[in-house]
Amino acid sequence: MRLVRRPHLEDFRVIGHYTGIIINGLGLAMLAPLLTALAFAEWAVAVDFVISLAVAFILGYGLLLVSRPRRHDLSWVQGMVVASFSWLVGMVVGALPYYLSFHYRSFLDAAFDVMSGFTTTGLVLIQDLDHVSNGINMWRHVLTYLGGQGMVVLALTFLLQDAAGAFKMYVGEAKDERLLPNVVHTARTIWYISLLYLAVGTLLQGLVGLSIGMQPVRAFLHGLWIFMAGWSTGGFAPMSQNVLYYHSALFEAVTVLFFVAGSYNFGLHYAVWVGKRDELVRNIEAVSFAITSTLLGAVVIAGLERSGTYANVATLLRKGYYLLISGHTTTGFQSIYGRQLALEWGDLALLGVITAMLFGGSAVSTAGGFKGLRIGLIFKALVQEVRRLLAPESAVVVEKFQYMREVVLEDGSVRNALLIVVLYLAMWGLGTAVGVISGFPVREALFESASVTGNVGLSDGVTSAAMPSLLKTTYIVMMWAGRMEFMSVLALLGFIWAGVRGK
Amino acid sequence: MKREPGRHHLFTWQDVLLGIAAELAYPAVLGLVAFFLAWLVVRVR
Repeated sequence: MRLVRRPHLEDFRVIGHYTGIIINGLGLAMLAPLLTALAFAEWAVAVDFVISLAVAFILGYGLLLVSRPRRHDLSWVQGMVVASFSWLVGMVVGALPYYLSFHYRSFLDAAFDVMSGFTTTGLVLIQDLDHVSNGINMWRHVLTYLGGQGMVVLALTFLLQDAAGAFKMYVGEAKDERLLPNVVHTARTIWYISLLYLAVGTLLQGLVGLSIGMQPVRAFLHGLWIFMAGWSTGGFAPMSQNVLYYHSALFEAVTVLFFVAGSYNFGLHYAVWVGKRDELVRNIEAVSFAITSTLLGAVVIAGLERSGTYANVATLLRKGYYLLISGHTTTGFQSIYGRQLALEWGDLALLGVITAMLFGGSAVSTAGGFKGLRIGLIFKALVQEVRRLLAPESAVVVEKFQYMREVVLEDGSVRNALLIVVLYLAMWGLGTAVGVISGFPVREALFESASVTGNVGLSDGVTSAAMPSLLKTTYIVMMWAGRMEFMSVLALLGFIWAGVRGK
Repeated sequence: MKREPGRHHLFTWQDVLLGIAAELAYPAVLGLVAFFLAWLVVRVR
């Protein structure tokens, strides 16, 4: 007999309590764009943020007031539901300043851009991006920077001293590796790493901006935003032409350094920063990324050479390899026009980028996609099976890999990796189908769906404010489920199901 | 000095700076490999 337990009032109280805390965290984050708007005398924008901030705090504190759970301990289901549910509520609250800015045709478009930012995807529906205020631009990039670290990580860092069972919320947000025994210390370490990189990255990107002739304030503001979008593997940019706007190979090269670093596992950063620098060349994800990016780089280069899209090696590399790495790290910075991808790049080069986008960056990072860890695990499992076939029947074949420490490959981890990869592939198929139903050619729908599935943000032109609401909604759900790595989204659906059919 | 787990100051400035340098050098090396690969592909064709 299958027993589904109907949720109790206490379940809702616990979920409401922690969702309230996370929404308050999002409200606090609105101070950054509010202060930016005030600093640049953008009074109307500042008012929009005051209104949004008030709504966030009313909702956050309202939830805290009505929830009041008896115990603050979280069960696995509660932790998972908090993680996925708070991202949905966060999307609605985060869309308020967008909607009030009049740069969106509908609230759905504003919500799409928030989810795209939170999930570090980078697809945009914003109108007239080139004339957006500094306040709104700051909010766009803060959203993506926060999303990279995770909203739960934000709440754990700044709003919770210690929470029993907080690890379960943290896992719900697709982070299953603790850098330190205490999850709050782990969250703080993630922020420590990100903030130190923010200082280094903004400085470097700003200096390059100065060197290409930008005004100082503008250079460092753009440097900050481009760093935030790169580090979080988000791919937003303050100008509609994305990184193509800057017309500088050096500017593009510096972005590569930071978005590749952003796609590393926070565990890897931690290991390297405490002096274990050899982890960079031994870690299964770093090795996996080096191999797949080199192989897929060869595919893209051969494809572009065959199609004759670019005249010389330097341009071929600057455009082709940049896009590949941007896709592989799931960043989505684009140095060519979307329609060039659709019309001028040959099928082979496009296939290379699609594969890279699906593979994605590292686990426990800001990146999306299958993740290097799962690619590595599946490859190791394949090697193990071949070794088993070749070994005598009585032999025990053990496969090991380096993931911060030496780990023995277990069937459970392989099963888990395969399951998640299958779910990603199914979602890619679903997104393609809805794209085709919406009237787009299959080649373009395949590319865009891979970009959404892997939280990449490269676009061949499918994503626009003119696309049907069905496709916008599908992409929002895909971005959300992909970023959460399905489990907490499935937990939320299960929770709703239990509410309806449980006993 | 033994590092106390669970605290930020287990990072030393030297390790952090060398760490950032190593992390940023890694994509640069991959880029050089890609450049060599591109040059090779174009030469062969």
